[in-house]
Amino acid sequence: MNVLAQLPGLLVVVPLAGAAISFVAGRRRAPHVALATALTVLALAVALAVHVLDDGPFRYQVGGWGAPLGIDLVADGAAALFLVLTAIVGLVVTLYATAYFRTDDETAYGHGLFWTLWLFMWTSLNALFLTGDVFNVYVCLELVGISAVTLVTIGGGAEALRAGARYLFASMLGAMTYLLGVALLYAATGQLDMDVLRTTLVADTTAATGLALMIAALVLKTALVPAHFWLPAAHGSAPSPVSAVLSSLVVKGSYFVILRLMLDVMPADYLPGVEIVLGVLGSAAIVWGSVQALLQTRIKQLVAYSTVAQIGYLFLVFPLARHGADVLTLALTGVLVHALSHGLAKAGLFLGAGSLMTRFGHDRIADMGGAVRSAPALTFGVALAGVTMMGLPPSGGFGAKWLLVSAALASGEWWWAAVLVTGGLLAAAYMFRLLSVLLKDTPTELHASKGDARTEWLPLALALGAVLLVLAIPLVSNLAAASNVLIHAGVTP
Amino acid sequence: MTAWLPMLIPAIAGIATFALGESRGRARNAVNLTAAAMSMALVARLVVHAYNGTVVASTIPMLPGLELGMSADLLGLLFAAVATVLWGVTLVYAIGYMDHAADRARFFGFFALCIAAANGVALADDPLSLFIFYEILSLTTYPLVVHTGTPEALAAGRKYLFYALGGGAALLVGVAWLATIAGQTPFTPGGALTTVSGRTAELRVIFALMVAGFGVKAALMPLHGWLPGAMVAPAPVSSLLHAVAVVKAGVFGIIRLVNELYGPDLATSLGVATPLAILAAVSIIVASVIALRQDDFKRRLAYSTIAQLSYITLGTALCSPLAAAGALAHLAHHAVMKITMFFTAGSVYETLHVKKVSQMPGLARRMPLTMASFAVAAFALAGIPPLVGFASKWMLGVGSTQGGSVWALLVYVSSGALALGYMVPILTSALREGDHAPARGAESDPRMLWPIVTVGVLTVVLGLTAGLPGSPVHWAMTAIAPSFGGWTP
Repeated sequence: MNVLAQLPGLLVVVPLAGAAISFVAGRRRAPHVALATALTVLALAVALAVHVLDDGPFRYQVGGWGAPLGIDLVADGAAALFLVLTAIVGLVVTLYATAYFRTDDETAYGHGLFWTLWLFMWTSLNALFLTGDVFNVYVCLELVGISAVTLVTIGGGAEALRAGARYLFASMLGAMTYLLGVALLYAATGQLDMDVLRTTLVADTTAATGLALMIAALVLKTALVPAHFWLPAAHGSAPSPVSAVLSSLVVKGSYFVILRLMLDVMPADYLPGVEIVLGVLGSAAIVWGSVQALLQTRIKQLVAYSTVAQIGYLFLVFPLARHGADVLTLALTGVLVHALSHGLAKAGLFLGAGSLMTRFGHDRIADMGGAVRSAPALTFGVALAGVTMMGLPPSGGFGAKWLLVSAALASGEWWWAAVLVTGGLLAAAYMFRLLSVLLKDTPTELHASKGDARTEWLPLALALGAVLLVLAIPLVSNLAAASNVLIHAGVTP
Repeated sequence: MTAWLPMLIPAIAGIATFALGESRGRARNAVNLTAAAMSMALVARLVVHAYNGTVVASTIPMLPGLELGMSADLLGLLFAAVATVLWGVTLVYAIGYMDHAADRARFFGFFALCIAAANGVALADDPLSLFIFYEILSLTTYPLVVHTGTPEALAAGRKYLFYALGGGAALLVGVAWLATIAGQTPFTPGGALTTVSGRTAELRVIFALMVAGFGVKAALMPLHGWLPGAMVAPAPVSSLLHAVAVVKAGVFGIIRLVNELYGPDLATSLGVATPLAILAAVSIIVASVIALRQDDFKRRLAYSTIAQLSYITLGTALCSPLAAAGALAHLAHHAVMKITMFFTAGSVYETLHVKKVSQMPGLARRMPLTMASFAVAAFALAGIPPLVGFASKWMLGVGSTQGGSVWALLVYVSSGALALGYMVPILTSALREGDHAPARGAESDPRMLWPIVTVGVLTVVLGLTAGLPGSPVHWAMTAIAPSFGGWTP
């Protein structure tokens, strides 16, 4: 049996086993289990990406059953990208968490469970990126949602509990709406497999209603404006490693499903006008999220609103996709680069915010003056992550902005380019508001003892990764070409 | 690979400076000075190659269908040589100036990164590569402007970013738009847009967007607002970045845009060159008049810089070969003159805390060598022969009449008079009897004094040798000639 063909299965089984082992290993050994798991998953994800680049997308039948009875996993270029991103961010967050959740801190009640829940969420996310069936998407979304809500509240505290409750409500509402959509779709077509749906979907009101409900539910889960109401509180009040994972990875899980439904499963104009609505909401998110980020006084709220804004960019691919194969290729590569660079930079920014908060003992931006003197690497990391957020060269964010602006100009719909450029300038405004405080010349008394070196250097490592991503764009472009979206659109032979 | 080195060597020096940290001062100075020496030797080698007709170039794939490219042609090398040579001189000066300052690792690190970006702008082979280094230059300058961390510096930094990032956004749209209609367009003497036919309206808008982008750093009015405020930065920053690297990146962008992207013919036939020339002419006069009224020494120099940068823009926009060559030569000449002046401003502030022209009486006796160097540079700036400014102004003036734009000649002549008007009061004020007693012993830190004398002497030497092969004048004419077909200087 070909080992490479087993990679999709292993990418789900390995983190699941890690979660189980970390649960029985006890709180002292759990971090080691998590690290070993993270390294293994990273190796598997990279191997999968290499395999997809060499041999193209493939299906994996769990237990050898096959559709329509069994569970099928689908590994294509886009999925491989998200899996690798998750593995890189996952590894760094795991390393950071070993410093953040100190095993000798007996007062932290929930911290022992962090490792198990985190690996379980990783399992569900990997499954979500790989699943080829709209019902299994529901299962994965529920698993991701429940572990995410629990992780938000793991540190305790009234604010986190309130945020968690709101997050739980949004998550449940999204899951139920999605399930209702799946039921309607199944009633109309009798199919759940995405690939089968792609070839058999015909005009039908029930099926269309079902798909519309599914997309609406996923939009809520992705926190696209105006359905973002739950995100700033949840991402802002969670422990920092959790915020990093939620902002950089979890929202991309539901987004990836929208991407596949809109560009792969549904024929063009199956839901007329939806792509425009998504593009307009994305633009609104960019402006609204950035303006809100500019107004925040607390650092993690600023970073969380920045996520609201950055999610908007991902939705600009939908209106652009209508303009032929060339524009679609540019735009799809653009959003994939954006998902990667935002994933790395935002994780770096949340980890950096967490390190600043530990050092200062509070989260008020106005009182963080002088950070550059005592924690230069940390400040530099925040600044570099900011460069990617603004889409300035040389960074992955610039690559994404360039690709999307080119797509918009080539499509003739220049107003999307205007939105992209405005978004970059607004990001510069809110990032430099933070940076100008960190660079201020005020003597500070930081809690140096709380400053583990890992918490200073890991955010910088992630930010550097987001910057160096600009050199990996040819690789991302090849993986995009190996995605089912472009293969089924006839772009890739 | 060699074509990347003028950019990579300072970049590596910058990163090494960060890695060395605050305490290892000697190692830091050694790394930076060695890097400057290596860069100078390398640029010299590339210049010899380019004069012999071999342009060293290299590209790497970056975005789909677009490559990041560096090409060591004569035009780019002139800017790279100016930035690199003056980096070396400024380093010596800065080591003296920043002797007691805090956060020197950050300062010298970003300083080297700025030079890396400026050399990237100089040698970039196409609009996208140029844009990338142009934006890196904006970002790496910010920490230097806000270096002291005072509220005043942070406010100036905010203003700088507002202008720089706004301009960068316009430039991005221009470059991306051009790429969608013309694909990859490596700079070609005489114009790179031969594949585009028609689309005149689009080309005009793209030209305007790019001018807006470059105009910010070139301090073209009304985009100049950031420059006087940015003078709050430490003197080596004002000297090298706000008289040489950063502002020259803007005018250099305009030179590439007019001569090697659109080409003088297309720029003229589209009717975009004349509005640019008028804008530059207005900037020259208005900035010179404002300079007359400034008491703050560095602000007066800043407005003089705005006027002198527009000399270059105007000469380029006239689309006449001799004026274009004069503009390019003036890029180098003005750098030498203005860095002498900013060095002087920094030195008199650091030594005597003199910031204003009205505080200068007695200065000529207190700091004779410094003020003598300044005087030479001031007369050169006003275009007095045989100093360096005369050569390029002569070319600009004769070039304007050859191109049929006598009005531009009038602008140059009248602004020469205005330059005397804002420079001479500085000298008379310094010569007057005043509070500053004659120096006992050294007039200032020798690490500041000798760089000033060096660049001061350079304004004389370059003026006297302007007619020789390899001088900036000859170099500029050789570099510009291919953009004007059969023109032989």
